[in-house]
Amino acid sequence: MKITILDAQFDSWQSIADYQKTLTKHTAKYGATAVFVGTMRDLNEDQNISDMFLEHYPGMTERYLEKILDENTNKHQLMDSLIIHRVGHIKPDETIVLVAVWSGHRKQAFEACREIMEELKSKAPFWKKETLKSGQEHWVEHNTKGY
Amino acid sequence: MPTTIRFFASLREEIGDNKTLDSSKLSALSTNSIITTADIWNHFTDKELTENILISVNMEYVDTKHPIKEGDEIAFFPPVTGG
Repeated sequence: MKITILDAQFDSWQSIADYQKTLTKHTAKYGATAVFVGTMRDLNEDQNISDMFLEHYPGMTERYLEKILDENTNKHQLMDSLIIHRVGHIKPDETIVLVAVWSGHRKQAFEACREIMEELKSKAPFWKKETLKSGQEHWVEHNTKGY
Repeated sequence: MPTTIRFFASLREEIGDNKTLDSSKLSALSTNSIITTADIWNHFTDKELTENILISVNMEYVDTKHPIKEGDEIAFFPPVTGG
């Protein structure tokens, strides 16, 4: 299980490939890998966005991401999992978040990936401040619905 | 040991940055022997502590009635919007 909070761009697909190479004790044991990649868009609720600042609560954010992965590992018998989440200034088309899970079968992988992502969005202390192309700024007040 | 109070995101912009209370100021917040997270909030702002404001003590989510002890780190923040 690995959690990284990063104040820099990263390549989500390379990160998955690099992490998977380390899963040597599970080689030929995991039958399913499920992935979610969240990317910043230049549009939100019909407003053109030029930049986003993503704030977090150092210490509590990591604690809650670890709890989310621990609980889902037990619930879905995951073999391994990975979260990478950006903080700081983010531009459109950059990756915001990566969630990847490895399990024996697809049911656990699909369900775990979905649940991890939804719990991250509802419990992990992150907050987004968007800058519009007009220069105005506002805090995002609520998440879009996942289900 | 000072008690630390943190505000994040829009609450930090409205109420201010990290604050501390020493033991005498902490105990003066209430006539009860128990000081709650709501007492802490009311000390720093006239803004209503609405249901959508989240509270943590020592990095665990709690409610408005949670008792505070000296040295705790209390945080108030808006609904989270990560991912």
